[in-house]
Amino acid sequence: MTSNPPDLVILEEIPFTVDEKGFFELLKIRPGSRHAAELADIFNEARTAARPKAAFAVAPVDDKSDDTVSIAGVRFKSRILAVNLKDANVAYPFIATCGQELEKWSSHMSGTLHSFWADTIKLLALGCAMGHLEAYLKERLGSAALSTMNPGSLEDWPLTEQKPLFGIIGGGAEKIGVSLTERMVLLPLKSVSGIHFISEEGFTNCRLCPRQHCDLRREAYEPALYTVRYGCG
Amino acid sequence: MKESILAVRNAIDTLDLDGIGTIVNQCLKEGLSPEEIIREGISKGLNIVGRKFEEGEYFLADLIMAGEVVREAMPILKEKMNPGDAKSKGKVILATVQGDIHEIGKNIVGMILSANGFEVIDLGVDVPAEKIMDTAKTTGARLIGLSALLTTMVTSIRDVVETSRRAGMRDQVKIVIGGACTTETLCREMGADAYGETAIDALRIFNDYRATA
Ligand code: B12
Repeated sequence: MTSNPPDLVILEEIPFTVDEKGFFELLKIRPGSRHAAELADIFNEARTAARPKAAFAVAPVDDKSDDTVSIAGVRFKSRILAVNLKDANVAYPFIATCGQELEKWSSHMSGTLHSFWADTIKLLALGCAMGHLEAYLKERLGSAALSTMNPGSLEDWPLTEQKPLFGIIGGGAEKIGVSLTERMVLLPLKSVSGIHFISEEGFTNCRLCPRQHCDLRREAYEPALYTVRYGCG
Repeated sequence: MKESILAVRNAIDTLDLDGIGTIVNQCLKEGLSPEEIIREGISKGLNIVGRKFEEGEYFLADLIMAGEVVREAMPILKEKMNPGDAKSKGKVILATVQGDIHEIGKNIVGMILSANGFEVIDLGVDVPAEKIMDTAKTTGARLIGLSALLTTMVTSIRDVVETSRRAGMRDQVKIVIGGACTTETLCREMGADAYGETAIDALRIFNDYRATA
């Protein structure tokens, strides 16, 4: 099957919207304490350097089978992705990153405390990129029913699928300075990849993730969902 | 228990970076030995913080700050100790396995170990097995902690085990694994020596290895 190359959208002007007061609270640094001035300097440096970014493709879902789905001519092997996209005509493969600028900035940080602060800043910047991308897509599509899957999150859609994903979004990744190593690691490290799609039924990895003790769990684990919705083993 | 020792524990628990120096000096002035201050004050204080972290009351930032409070106290105590007694508990190499980038858990383990007297050599994330064993050779470290969160990358644990075997060092090193996708069963499958579910387990395991070394 032939497919037109998907439209790429690059979001380079994503604001670093981290509230300074909340940031100090998060890191347990009390105002006026010995570390407060140090952290304020680091935070200001980071705020100036930060360029969180995201890229996504508007990609046609062009062929579906039970266990695979073809998006913009690239075949993905995942039953869950195939089922999730069964009513979708378009999918939005994406990459979001804290940006190379912060990565470079943080390379001169040393010691546990400063490294931890810099890491937290980079994660928050990645959060800005992810949040901005989601809000942008919701507004553009006029729908709040945006769901996400990430390669490597579930056994059904393994990490090796970063490769086909890069087949679609690779040009955009390059523009925002994200690369994929042979071992499927995204660089800068504070980056994520995935596919956004519209689903009235809604989907989160959490519902299929058995992991206990996760502070970030958004929904309960539903072991039966594999069989009920996805017809797997 | 002396009030001043309790104050040490409390300073760690309340992350009182600005107060700990005065409190430790007060303990010394009252005639408490540095060893006692470490054993009854610092270690117990860290245990409180560690427990609160495991129970979800404290977050990573609290642990890091508690580590800083301890770091602030240690030079004052070391100065009063016999050089022999101030020795580190030994070197531990920590790494997130090749192909994996998750490092928050590893960093917590590193924090707890170094606050408890181990010398931590943190090699970072996505670390090849060869680099780990080369570091073991050059530094003399015999304790290795591996962190893995990505299910697909657990085979990297076996790579480390195999590399140590090829280097003729399998009997000399202890390879401990942890991270959300690891289990006791996986530990056996990969041929590692021990599995720890939490950072506190990591401390217990490395302490045990040290005691039997
Ligand atoms: C934070 C996070 C990230 C951050 C990483 C930040 C960082 N610097 O580490 C970011 C956002 C960058 C990220 C990215 C990705 N992530 Co991620 N991430 C997580 C998350 C939400 C939390 C991990 C964490 O830090 N937990 C908190 C720490 C404290 O827990 P812990 O590591 O288990 O450590 C404790 C114990 O295990 C133990 N321990 C840890 N190490 C050791 C070592 C020893 C020796 C011992 C004894 C004990 C021990 O002690 C610690 C404290 O008690 C998990 C979900 C989860 N709940 O685990 C997903 C998760 C690990 N990520 C996942 C995935 C797939 C990815 C991506 C590949 C997604 C994608 N396609 O983009 C990317 C990869 C990015 C890249 N660069 O290539 C999956 C993995 C699925 C799997 N089973 O394999 C998870 C489980 C989420 C999910 N369900 O989808 N991620």
